[in-house]
Amino acid sequence: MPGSLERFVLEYVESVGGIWEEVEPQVYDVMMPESLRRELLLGPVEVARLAFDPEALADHPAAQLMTFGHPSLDRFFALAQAQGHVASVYLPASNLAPHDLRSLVRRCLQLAPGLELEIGQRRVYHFRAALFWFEATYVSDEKEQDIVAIGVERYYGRPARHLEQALRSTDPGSPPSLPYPDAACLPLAQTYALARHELLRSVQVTAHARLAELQGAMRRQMARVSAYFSDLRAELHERQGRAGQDSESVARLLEQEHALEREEQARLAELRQKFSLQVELRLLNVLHVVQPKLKLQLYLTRPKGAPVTVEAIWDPLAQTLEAVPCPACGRPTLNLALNRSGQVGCQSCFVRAGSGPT
Amino acid sequence: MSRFLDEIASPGDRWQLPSPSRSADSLALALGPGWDALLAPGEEVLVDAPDAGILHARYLSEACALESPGFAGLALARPERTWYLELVSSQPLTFRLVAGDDPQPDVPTGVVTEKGVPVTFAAQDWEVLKEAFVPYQRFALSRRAAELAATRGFDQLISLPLLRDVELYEHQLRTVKTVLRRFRGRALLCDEVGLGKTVEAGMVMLELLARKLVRRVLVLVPPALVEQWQGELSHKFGLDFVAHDEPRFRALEREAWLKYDRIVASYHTAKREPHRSAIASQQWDMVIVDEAHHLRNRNTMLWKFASALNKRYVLLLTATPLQNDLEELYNLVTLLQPGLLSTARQFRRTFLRRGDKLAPRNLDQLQGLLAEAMVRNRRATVGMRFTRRFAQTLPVLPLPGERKLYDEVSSFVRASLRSSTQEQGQGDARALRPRVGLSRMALIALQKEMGSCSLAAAPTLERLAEGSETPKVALRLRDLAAQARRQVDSAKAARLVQLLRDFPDKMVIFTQFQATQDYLAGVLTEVGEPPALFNGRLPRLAKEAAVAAFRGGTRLLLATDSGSEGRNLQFCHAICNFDLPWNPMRIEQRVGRLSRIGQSEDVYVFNLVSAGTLEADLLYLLEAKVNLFEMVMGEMDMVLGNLDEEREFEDLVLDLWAASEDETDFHGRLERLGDELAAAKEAYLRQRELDERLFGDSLVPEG
Repeated sequence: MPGSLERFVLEYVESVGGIWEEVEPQVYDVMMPESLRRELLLGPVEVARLAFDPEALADHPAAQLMTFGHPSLDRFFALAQAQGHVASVYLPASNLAPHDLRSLVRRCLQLAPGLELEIGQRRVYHFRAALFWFEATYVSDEKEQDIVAIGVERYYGRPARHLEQALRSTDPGSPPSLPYPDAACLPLAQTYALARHELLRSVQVTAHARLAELQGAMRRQMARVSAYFSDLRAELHERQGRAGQDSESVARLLEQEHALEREEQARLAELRQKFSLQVELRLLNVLHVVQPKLKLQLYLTRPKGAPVTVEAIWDPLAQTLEAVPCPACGRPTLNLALNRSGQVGCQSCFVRAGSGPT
Repeated sequence: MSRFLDEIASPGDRWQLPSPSRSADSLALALGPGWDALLAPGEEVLVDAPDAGILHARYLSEACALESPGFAGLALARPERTWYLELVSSQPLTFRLVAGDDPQPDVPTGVVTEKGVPVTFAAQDWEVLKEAFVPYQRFALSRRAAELAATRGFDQLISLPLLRDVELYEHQLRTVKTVLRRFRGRALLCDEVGLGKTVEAGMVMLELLARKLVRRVLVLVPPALVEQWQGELSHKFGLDFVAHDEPRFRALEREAWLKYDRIVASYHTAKREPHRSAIASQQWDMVIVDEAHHLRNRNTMLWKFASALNKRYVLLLTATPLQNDLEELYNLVTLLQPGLLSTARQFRRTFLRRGDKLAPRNLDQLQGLLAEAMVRNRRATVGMRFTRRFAQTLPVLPLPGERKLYDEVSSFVRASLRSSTQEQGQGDARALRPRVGLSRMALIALQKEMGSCSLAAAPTLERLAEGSETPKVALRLRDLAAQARRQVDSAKAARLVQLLRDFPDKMVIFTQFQATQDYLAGVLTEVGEPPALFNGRLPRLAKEAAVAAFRGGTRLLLATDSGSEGRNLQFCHAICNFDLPWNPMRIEQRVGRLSRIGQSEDVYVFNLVSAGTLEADLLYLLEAKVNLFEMVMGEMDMVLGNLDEEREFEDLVLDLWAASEDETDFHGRLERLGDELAAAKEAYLRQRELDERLFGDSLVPEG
C-alpha cells in the first residue's frame, strides 16, 4: 500500500489531469501537462519516472527520487498548495425533525425554578462557519512551524471547536439536498478578525513557552561565554606578566586582549540574536462550512405572566442546543431565568444585579 | 415552483450567492447547489436587480443559475461585496438582489505580546480570503501539501512514517528529541554498544532533512563501515548517499565533494589531500562522525580536520568517549560547543587531579556541563532483554585435492607478495609491494577465495593468468585454475549439509563470494533445501522477494555480505559463516544482522573452517583471545580501536602471513597479535568500567 507521501503525489498528478502507472512498488511512471513537468523539474520527456525508494534508483537510474529534502518534492508541495486555498462544504441535513424536540431542548437548558418551556416556530436555515488554517512560524535561530486551525461560527461569532471533527465524520464533497435559506451571517472580514483574535491567544501561549526556553538557554550560554572569555583574559594576563618589559610581546598581548574583548562582545551579540523570537502568521486555507440547523422560537413561561420569547439554535449533528447570548450581558448561556420585570437573562446576571430570578 | 420553496422559505429569507457570482459578460447568475429541488428547469422568476429594475429570468438547471439578458449590465464580481438573493414573494416568484458590504478588515499587521514577542500577520491574508472557491478535492490536496511542507517543532517527530524495517525503542526516541530540542542538533551520542546509535543519528538527520533545515550531509566513518552506513541509510531511512569510493564519485575527483549533497566517506580518506581542502571549503549543514573516539586527541590531523569543517549540525558517535585522559572528553565536546568546558587549561584546573588523568574532581559540575552536549544510554537502564550468542566452530578436513590446491595457491600468493619489489617500514614486513602485473588486491582476493571454496578461486586464477606478463607464471596460474575447476566436491559443503540435518531451524548462510554462492545454491538444491538467494547485484524487488521468501516458507537464506546491510533478519536466530572475512568487524556485522537490539531469541553461530588454512588460524585467534562471538555488536570495533595500528586488520593479518617463513612462524606471529588483541580488549573493558564510574546514569536523556 503506498505511503502517505506517495499517495499525496499520485493524487496531485491526478488532480492536474495527469495519469500514473505503477511500474513496481514505489516506482511510478507519470504523464503530466508539459507546463507542469517543467515547473516540477521533471525534465522534457513525456513520461517521467518517480521513485520513492532510493534502493530503486539502481534499477531505474533515470527516475526522479521523491524524498524529503529533494527539490522535486518541494515543488510538488508548492504547486499543490497553490491549487486552491478556499472551498466550501455542506454538512449533511440529517435529524432536522427530531422526535420530541421539546424534551431534547429542555434537557440542554437550565431554567430557573417555575419556568416552563414551549417551542414555537422552528425553521431550518443554513448556518455558516469558517475554518481557518493559519501557519504560525516561530523564528529564532531555527524555524519551527505549526498549523493552527481556528473555527468560527458566523451566526453568533463564537469559536467553533468541533468543526474539524464534524468534517471528519462526513463526506465533505456532497452537495446539499435542499438550498435552505441562509441564517444571518457575520461579514467575512469580521469573522477573520475574530479568528485572528483566537489565533493570537493560542499562539501567544506557545510563543511565551518557547521564549522562556530560549531566554533560559541564552542566559546560560551568555554566562558561559563570559566565563570562558574571562578565563582567556586571565591566561592572557599571566602571559603578560611573564612577558615583562619586552615591548613587542607586551604590544602583541595587548592587541590580543582587545581582540578578545571584541570577540566576546560579538559572541554575546550573536547569542542575543540567536535566542530572540518572533512569530509570523499567515493564512493558508479557509473552508466555509455550511450546516443546516434549526432556528427555534422558545417560549419561557411562568405560572402567571406572559411568555417571553428567546431565539435558540438546535444543532442536529451535535444533538445539542447552542448556548444563547444572554440579552443582559451578552455572554453565551444555557442557564436562563426571568426577573420580576419579565426580562429574560442568565441567572448570574440577576444574582449580580440583585434583581434575582423568579 | 416546487412546494418545497413554500415549506423552507418565507419572504425576507436570503441566499448567499457564490463568489464571484458571474463574470462581466455572462447572462447567468450562479445560485449554488440544490436549487433543482426548488425550481423546475426553465421556470420563470422575477429578479429585482439594483439599477436595473425588475428583470425576467429563467432557471437553468444544468448551470444551477438564473439567466436573463438584463444581467449583462450588472457588475457583481467585486471582492468587497457579498451578494444575496432575497425572496420577496412566492406569487409571483420574485427575488431581490441585495449587496452586503464586506470590506477588507482593518486589523493591524503586527502586534507585540505581553512578554514582548513581535507577531506579524501576512499582508496577503485578505487576498486568500477572497479567492474563488475550488472543488473540495483540490482544496484537500492543498491542505495536505501545507501539512507535509510545514517545518514542525521537534515535539512531534514527522519522520516516523518514513522509517522502514526499524523498530524504534523508547530510549532512542528520547535521545532523538533531546538532541533536536535541547542540544539543537549538536551532540555526542555515547550509548553503550548495541543500543542503536546509528538509528538515533539517522533519525536526527531525517528529522532535520524533512524540515528542510538540512540539505548537505557528510557522514565520516571508519573505512570498514562505509558500505554498512550507506546501506542502512538507504534501506532504513530512504536516503540516497553516495560513497566516496564509488566509481561515479571518484570520476569527479575534488568536484564530487561539491556535486553530491549526501556523502558517506572514510575519514582516513577525507582527512588527506586532495580531499581535505575540498571538504573544508564546503558548507555542510550536517556532519556525522561514527566511531568518534578517533577524535579524542586534538593534536591529530583528524581532530583538526573535524574542527575546521563548516558545519551547522554535528553528531559524534562513540561508545567510549575517553580512554586515557579526561581531557579527551574536553576535545570531543569542544568540537560541538567550543567554550562549554571553558579553556583547556581551566578544564584541567577544575576537573583533573594531579597524577591521575582519569579521576575527576568536581564530578557533579562536570556531569552537569556534559549533560548539555552528551547523551549516554546504558543497557542496564533501557529496559530491554539482550539475548545470548552460542558460537560453534566446525573444523573441516579438506579433501586431498582441496588440500593440495590450497597449499599450492597459498605458496604462490605468499611468494608473490614476498618476492615483490621492496619492503617498507621497519621490523616485520609492512605493506609489501606486489610483483608487477599481480596486484596486491587480486592476490588477497585469491587467498580469501581459497579459504571459501576451490571453485570460487577458479575465475580469479584464470584472470590472473590472462593478465600475467610472465609466461611461466601464466602457465602455473592456468594449471591451478584447471585444478580449481576440477575440484567440484567440497568438504565444507558436505559439512554444511550435515549441519543442516542436525539443526532443523531457519538459518542464514553467509559467504563472501558470488561464485561460492552459486555453487552452494546448487548443492543445497540437490539435497532438497533450495535456498533464497541474496546478493548485492539483485534488483531491489528480487532482494525484497528473497527476504519475504525466507520469512515465509523457505528455510535457508544464502547471502553475500554486500547488499544485506540494514536488512532486518531478526526473525531468524541461526547463522552459518561458510567462509570468514578476515576483518572481525565484518564477522560481527554478519552476526549483527540477527543478534542485535530487539532479537528475542538466543542466536547460534556456526563457523565452518577448513583445517590448516589462514581462516582457521584467524578464527582460533579471535575466539581464544577476545571471545569474538560473545561480544556485543560494536564491541569488536572498540577493541580494534585500542590496537596501536594504523593498518586495517585484514592487511595486518595478511602481512604477518606473507612475511612468515612457514606455518609455525605464522602461528607465532599470530599469537603475538592475539596477545595484543587480548590486551586491547582488556583496555576496552577498563574503559567501560571507567565510563560507568564517570557517567553513571547522569547522561540518560529525558526526552
